[in-house]
Amino acid sequence: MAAEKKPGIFAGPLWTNNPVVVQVLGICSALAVTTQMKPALVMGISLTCVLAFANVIISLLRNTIPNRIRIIVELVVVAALVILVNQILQAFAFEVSKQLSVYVGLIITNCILMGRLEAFALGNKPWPALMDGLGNGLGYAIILFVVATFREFFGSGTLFGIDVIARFVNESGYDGYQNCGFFVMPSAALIILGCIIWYLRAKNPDLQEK
Amino acid sequence: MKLNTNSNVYTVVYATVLTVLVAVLLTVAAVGLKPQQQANADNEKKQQVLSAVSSVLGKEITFTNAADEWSALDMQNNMFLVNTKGEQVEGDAFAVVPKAQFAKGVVKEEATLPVYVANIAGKPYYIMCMYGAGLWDAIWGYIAVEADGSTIAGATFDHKGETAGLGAKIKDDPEFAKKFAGMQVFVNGAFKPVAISKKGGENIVDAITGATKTCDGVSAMIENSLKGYEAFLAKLQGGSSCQHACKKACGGEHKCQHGEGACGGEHKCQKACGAEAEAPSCCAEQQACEAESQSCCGEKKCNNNCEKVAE
Repeated sequence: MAAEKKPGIFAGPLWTNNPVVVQVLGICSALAVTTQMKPALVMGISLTCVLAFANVIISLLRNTIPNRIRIIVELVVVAALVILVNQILQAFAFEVSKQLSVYVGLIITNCILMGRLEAFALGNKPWPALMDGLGNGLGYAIILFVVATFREFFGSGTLFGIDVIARFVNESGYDGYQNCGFFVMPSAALIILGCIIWYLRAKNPDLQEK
Repeated sequence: MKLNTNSNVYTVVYATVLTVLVAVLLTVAAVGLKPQQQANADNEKKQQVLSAVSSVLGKEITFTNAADEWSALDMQNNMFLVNTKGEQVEGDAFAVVPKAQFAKGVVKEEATLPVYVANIAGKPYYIMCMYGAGLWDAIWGYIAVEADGSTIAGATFDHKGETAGLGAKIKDDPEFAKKFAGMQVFVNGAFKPVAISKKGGENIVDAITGATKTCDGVSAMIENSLKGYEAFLAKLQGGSSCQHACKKACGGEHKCQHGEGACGGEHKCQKACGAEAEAPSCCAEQQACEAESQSCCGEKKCNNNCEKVAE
């Protein structure tokens, strides 16, 4: 896979080796949580945190983990992390935890987590593993954010819940923006993702299969 | 010595140690953080209960100001439990978990339901809990009813996992809950609480576009939950319709008002009215008497144009 290529462990996943649009991991949640920007942002940040921590822990344990149960060990570590984070949030940042509650489950099942733990953390030292975790988490967050921006703008005429289109058009005397229901549906996310992949591949011939 | 990380013994020991470690870690975290989490959960409940009357209060109830507003209204001493027959029962209303009072979406027969009374500007508002199912997961909320036992003063909704931007709007869009103010629980004396529909109409709240299933769930939740309170609300209503009748027919203003114990039902109202307002004054409003002949003056008196006053 392209994982060992340049340009760097951290910067690579942000664009040319993006986990969503190049590795095609974590598509499920990219479709599910991108109707609005706020949950998309929260999801991106939480996944980055969990992935960075899990990567470091697995990397520290990598020489001790029995090969036959390594996936279960990875799962236990990720699940424990997510539960712990959730418990702490419930106690000290209750309102944030309320927003996150739905997505915590999605973090555990996110393919990027297991993918990065298997592909990177098991074979690398903690520091590169941390960078890889941060890079992939942020790469995921960026794509989610871009998709959510399109979907919220065209789907509901708002950005971060603030009415942008309707207000603007109303002031100039036209009727308000008619919301586009299609953009609220998951299929719109797939099409936006497809467009991003198209653009990315057109710009980077390296990514094209011969 | 180099460990053979592939041996069976190593694998079993590793798995055991890891599991125990993680279990201990999570247990410590859960137990240690419990009091703080419970305090947060209580505060959230206060916020939700009071949010049902936020438009009456004229301010938004947030997680931060909920506890202050709660004590300002002295809510701690203004709550009680009712059973499905509308009778008040013993118990800590705040500790009651709404979910536990429902089975298969309807209120259990033996349920005890909390009623929170917010006294705002001299008027009582009865806040009741609701619980039901949305499209994906549980939905719940609180609904405030005025002293007449039918007019809805406000409502608030929450959900566990409705779709963000669609079903989640029952909570996120403040306009949705506001639409319930002024709707009715009883229509022409029959239990027919406000519904949600795309079609619109009398006593119907407009559905949220793209969230039909969630709105259906909210609609069913309101009906099923208020069904459990029907007897209680009917009692409130008995009080107020009695008051209405007495006012109209007898001119006796205050005697029959709810809460003074005078007006449990029609019969008591008759007595109180008769005692308060003398028969002549009662029948001075002849037309009113005819309309309300049963409730106050008695059929005969009114039909005879007040000439004969029995007793």
